[in-house]
Amino acid sequence: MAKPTTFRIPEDLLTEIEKNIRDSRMERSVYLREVIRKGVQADKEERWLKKYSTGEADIMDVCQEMNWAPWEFLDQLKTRNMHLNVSLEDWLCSE
Amino acid sequence: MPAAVFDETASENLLDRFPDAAVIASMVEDGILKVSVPAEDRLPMPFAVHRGEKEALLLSLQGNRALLATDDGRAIKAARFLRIPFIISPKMVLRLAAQQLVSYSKARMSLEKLAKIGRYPPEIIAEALLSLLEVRDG
Repeated sequence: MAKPTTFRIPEDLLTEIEKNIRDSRMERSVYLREVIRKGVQADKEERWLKKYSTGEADIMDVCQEMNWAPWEFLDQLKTRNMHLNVSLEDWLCSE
Repeated sequence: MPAAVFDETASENLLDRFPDAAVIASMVEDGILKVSVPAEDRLPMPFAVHRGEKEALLLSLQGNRALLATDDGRAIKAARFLRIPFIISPKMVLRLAAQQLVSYSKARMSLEKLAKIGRYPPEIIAEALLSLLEVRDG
């Protein structure tokens, strides 16, 4: 069940929101819910991929959190122009 | 191949969506890859790794520190901590070329794919390509 919440936003952002609501012809609350959901998802992806790149998480940790198959992981890196968290030192130490 | 890694990469629900999952499943079916479950389930190290990596490290330890193939930085860190020898994909390509099991052009193409599709860092691919030239030129 949806719960009400209140927060303040800057005027320029509010103007942009109002404009987008008119453009999309969506109900205000429906539009805001959708935008917040997309933003939360994008933020989660960004945070987990950052954890991966700093070595705090491994590939499967990220896949599990984001509900990606490991095969999708590489596509996600490609989309963001990111690379595997393997270092040059790992290359040198590899057999 | 650890059972957990097989589940993560080639389980039934992945076969239709990802061709590489089907390749792994068929290699297991043909006996080229063997799926194993480690006897132990505790790793003697102070940080956690995911189930698949943990099983791979345990299998290596049980196999008298058998060579671990991985492309995950965290698993490599664990392997180094446990003094388990490891190999990453570009090095594998290089070794195959050095042993003349693949041609120079095939090895070069594989390294380019590891850069583009496998998302290997450019500095590693550059080193690998230089090493491949050395292999070719003796």
